[in-house]
Amino acid sequence: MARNKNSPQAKSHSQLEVPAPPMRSLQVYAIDPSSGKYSGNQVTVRVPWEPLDPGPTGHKIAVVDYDATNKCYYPPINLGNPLLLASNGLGPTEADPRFHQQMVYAIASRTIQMFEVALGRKVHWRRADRFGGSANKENRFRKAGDIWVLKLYPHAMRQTNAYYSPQAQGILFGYFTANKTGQGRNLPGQLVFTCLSQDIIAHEVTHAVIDGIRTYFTEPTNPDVLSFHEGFADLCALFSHFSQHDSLIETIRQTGGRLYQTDLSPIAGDGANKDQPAITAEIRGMNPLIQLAIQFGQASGNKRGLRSALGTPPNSDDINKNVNDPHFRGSILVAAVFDAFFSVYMKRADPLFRIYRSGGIDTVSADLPAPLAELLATCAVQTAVQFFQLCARAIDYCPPVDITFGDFLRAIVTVSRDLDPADDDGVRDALMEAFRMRGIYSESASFYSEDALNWPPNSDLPAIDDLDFGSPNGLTSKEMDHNGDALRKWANENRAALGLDPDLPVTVPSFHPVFRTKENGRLRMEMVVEIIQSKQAKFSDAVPKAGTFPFRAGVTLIVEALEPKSHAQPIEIPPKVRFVIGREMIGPHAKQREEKQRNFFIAQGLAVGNTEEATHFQADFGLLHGDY
Amino acid sequence: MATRKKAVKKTVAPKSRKSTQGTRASRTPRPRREDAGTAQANAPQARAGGAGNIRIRMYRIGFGDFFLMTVPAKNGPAHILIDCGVHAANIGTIEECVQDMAQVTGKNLALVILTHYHADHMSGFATCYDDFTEFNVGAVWITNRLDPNNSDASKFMMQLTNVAQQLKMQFSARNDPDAIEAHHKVENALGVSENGGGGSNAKALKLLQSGFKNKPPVYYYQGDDAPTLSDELEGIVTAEILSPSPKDSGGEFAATDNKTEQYLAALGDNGVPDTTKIRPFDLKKWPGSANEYPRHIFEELDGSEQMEKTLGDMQPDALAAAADKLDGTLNNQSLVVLFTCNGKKLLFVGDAQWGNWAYWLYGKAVSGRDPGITPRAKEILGSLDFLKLGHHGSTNATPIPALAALNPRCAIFCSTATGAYGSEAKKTEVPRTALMEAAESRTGNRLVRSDWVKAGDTDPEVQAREELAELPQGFTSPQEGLYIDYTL
Repeated sequence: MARNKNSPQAKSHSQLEVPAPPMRSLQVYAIDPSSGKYSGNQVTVRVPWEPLDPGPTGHKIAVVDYDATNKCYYPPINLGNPLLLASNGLGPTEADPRFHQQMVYAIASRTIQMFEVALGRKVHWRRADRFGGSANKENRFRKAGDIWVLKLYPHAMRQTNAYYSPQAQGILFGYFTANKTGQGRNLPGQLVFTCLSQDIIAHEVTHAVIDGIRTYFTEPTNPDVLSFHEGFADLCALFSHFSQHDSLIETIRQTGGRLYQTDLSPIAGDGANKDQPAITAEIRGMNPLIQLAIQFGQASGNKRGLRSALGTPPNSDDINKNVNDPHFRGSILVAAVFDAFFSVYMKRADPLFRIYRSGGIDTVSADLPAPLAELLATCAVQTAVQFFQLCARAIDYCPPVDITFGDFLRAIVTVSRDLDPADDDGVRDALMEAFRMRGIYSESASFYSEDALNWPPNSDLPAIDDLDFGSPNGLTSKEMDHNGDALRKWANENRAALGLDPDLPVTVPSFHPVFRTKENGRLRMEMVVEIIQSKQAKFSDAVPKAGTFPFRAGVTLIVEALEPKSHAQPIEIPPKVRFVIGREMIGPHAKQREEKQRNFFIAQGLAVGNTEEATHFQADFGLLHGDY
Repeated sequence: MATRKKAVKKTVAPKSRKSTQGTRASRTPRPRREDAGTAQANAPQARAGGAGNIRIRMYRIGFGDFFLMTVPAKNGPAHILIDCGVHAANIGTIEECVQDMAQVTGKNLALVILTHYHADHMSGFATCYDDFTEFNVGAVWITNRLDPNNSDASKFMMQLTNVAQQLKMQFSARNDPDAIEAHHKVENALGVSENGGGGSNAKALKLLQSGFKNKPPVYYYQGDDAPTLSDELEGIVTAEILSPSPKDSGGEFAATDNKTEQYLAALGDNGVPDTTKIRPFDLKKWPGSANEYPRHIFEELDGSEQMEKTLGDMQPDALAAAADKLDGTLNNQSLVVLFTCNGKKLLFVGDAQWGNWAYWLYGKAVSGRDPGITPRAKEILGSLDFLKLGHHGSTNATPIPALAALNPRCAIFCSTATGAYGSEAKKTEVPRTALMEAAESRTGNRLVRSDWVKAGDTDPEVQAREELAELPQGFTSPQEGLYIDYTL
């Protein structure tokens, strides 16, 4: 920990012990610079405290301001500077690259924290699959393909793009000149920085987090995979917004508490003059939060975005259109989850509105009193945090490869049942209804009911002996080696029962202990385990030289450490497998899936080119995100 | 023979309709499978007739297509010319080849087909313009994307030409390998300019539209059109147009939904991407260096220089990408023609790439869910006797499902030259070794490359001879040079 040397803590050792603060406050744009006139746009976010080197360079993320278009570096900000510490960092400005670095660091850090809180564990970045387990000594060290510190390049290139790149071990943010025409709120020809948009930062960090949680999750093996990643990253970015109290207040006031409204009430007047506004303050602005959702839903060149998704009655046809447009399909997922979010929020806010109306006030036209707006904002934040947690934890309940929207629905229903069995506010009903209205079903569930959608609890598999859950602060590397070996042994013994090929080896790319509080107040200890099996499948039996593609199967296990029933029992009861969520390698389903995947790759044009290249079948987020 | 005539009557459209409007003709009834079967049973008789054989001649001119198909007609052999052009790796034999063709055909061609607007398929019409003006031609078929009476098509072609010209200026100032290849591509789209005027492609098109001696009718076709044959060919061959996708078909095939075409049209209107550098910050005010960042963050990336290189390599070459899209778009305009003659099926695919193939292989927009090829496409490919391999054997022009469905007894011609495009390192070399091997193994080594034969001063390509020591049955090279014939 060489970098501690210069930090304030280290210096003060000889004098007086000062505890490190839990959080660091940093100023950022709430949305992006173009939303300047929106009063909640400049906010202060609180991110976990960590000693920082110039960059800022922290433990998990490092900002490196290298511009590959101009082949130059920009000077790094040093947030350890006392003046900056006293002023919550630099004030928002487009003109100082150091503020850009600060904002990228702050939002990335905040997004990571949201995931860690939601998942109940620390996250790490991409890890290459380890074949052979701890017996293979190479596996103990860093491998090519691992990312230990995620680099954030705030001005990586002149391009209307920003993307997560495992190759560059980080996220590249582009900058570009706004169009001469149709520039929206930007000045024509003005420089636009993607690194100053909260949503773009949160979106990209989400891609990186997910890539770290699951090794083969981003392989686009069916039309839903990329759409899922796009939609999921948008959801996280949006919930990150809706969980910021300060930026919500103004929106709540101007929508009369109806957060889902697309238009804001004008600042001046009661809207009587709305057809012929005379001054700016009379113009109905767009709800910036919904607008974000809309912009997100807009695929490049495709103007049908969330606006239509939220503004028109949802339908079950869209899901079958434009299957090759991940942004369009992703927006359907976003619309479904947001539909549920707004429904639950309105249900929770209803008592507040009723109390307010009981005074004989028509809430549609009246301005909301400040205390009510505060309460509504609190309610919205709580709901947003809850939905974010549901979404993030649902990742743990998804199959490790080949995800579909239907799987995500089942995962989120199962998680919700795990977290809140009573569900007084009807979160699950709202989610199921919103998904159903948009034609998102699960192929594997036989009914569209909560019971059928919940992943079936497992009871047949043998308990996993000798699994070490470690301390809630994390596993030691010895414990990790031990667990990896125990899990591989168990998985190999139970290949057939898991739907895997008894003749092919398995790998265990990840296992994460999770600690949470149960309803009875005691600790629930679980482990999320990923087991993978891969083979090379031929593109064509008739043309053997036509090449192969990787076909993967695997399962996600949710393993729970059982509580001893009495003191007479030993504390160490072998942990029980609660859920097996997977994709089979053998059997009729696997055959079908292999055929679908083959056809999908061929139709995507992936059957040509260098199919032996390791990255050939991986998602290229750079191509996916062009033209923000 | 009676069976053959029956099939002919059913598939040939009334000749009266001149299709210069580019309108979509009524759908031709597909010949039924039984017809093909019976016709094939007659085949040995036709072969026994000697002069009754079909012959396809592939000229070796470099990297480009020049095919002459000769069929037995009422008054002796009738000739069909499919493309005539060379662009990259020009070995300077095209004049000699055109002379040979003039002699063989007596300057009479029953049909001339231009598959698409690329120099390597049409440059010969410009360089041998004067020779061609002495030819009498029965009919000319051109992809309907070049129909001058279709205002949308004309506008789009103008936009493409505009893009190509702008790109050409940009690339001529660059010297890196990517730029050189991209330069080839844009030149291919324009034709090499003569006397500083317009590209030679324009001149070639002019010949086809109005330059032949007898001013033959010119038809512009797209997939599913019923083509019109000259009197000479009527009753002798039938032809089906499989692609390009009809402009008014829905989904991804419609021009309005094709993002690549929209992108190119926008470039044509607004100009190619601006690659001049802009500096977001003044370096005098904000001087920075790698040394100001903690050293350890570069370690994972093998040092700051390696990181700079990684990021530098990730900078997309927007101009090369545009050139590539332009190239693919023109290839996908290819007219794909299936001939049936004497019960034999012969397929000429131009340079069709995936989008073009997808239309007739799947008959609908590929949804990505279950695009198994249609029974009709299976039937065509499964009964094919001859295939002109697309795009000189590049990896992007022969889809695996097509190869998998291909008749194992099919003969294949591939006009190509090594070292003109792509690289082995990127596995994009043309011809693509893996594809050629796959096609060879599928057809029992009945694939012959144009560079197998000596032409002019150019010796046979070593690689081609290594792959194939002797010509397979049915293939001959009568003069030990210039061309290879396949007789069936």
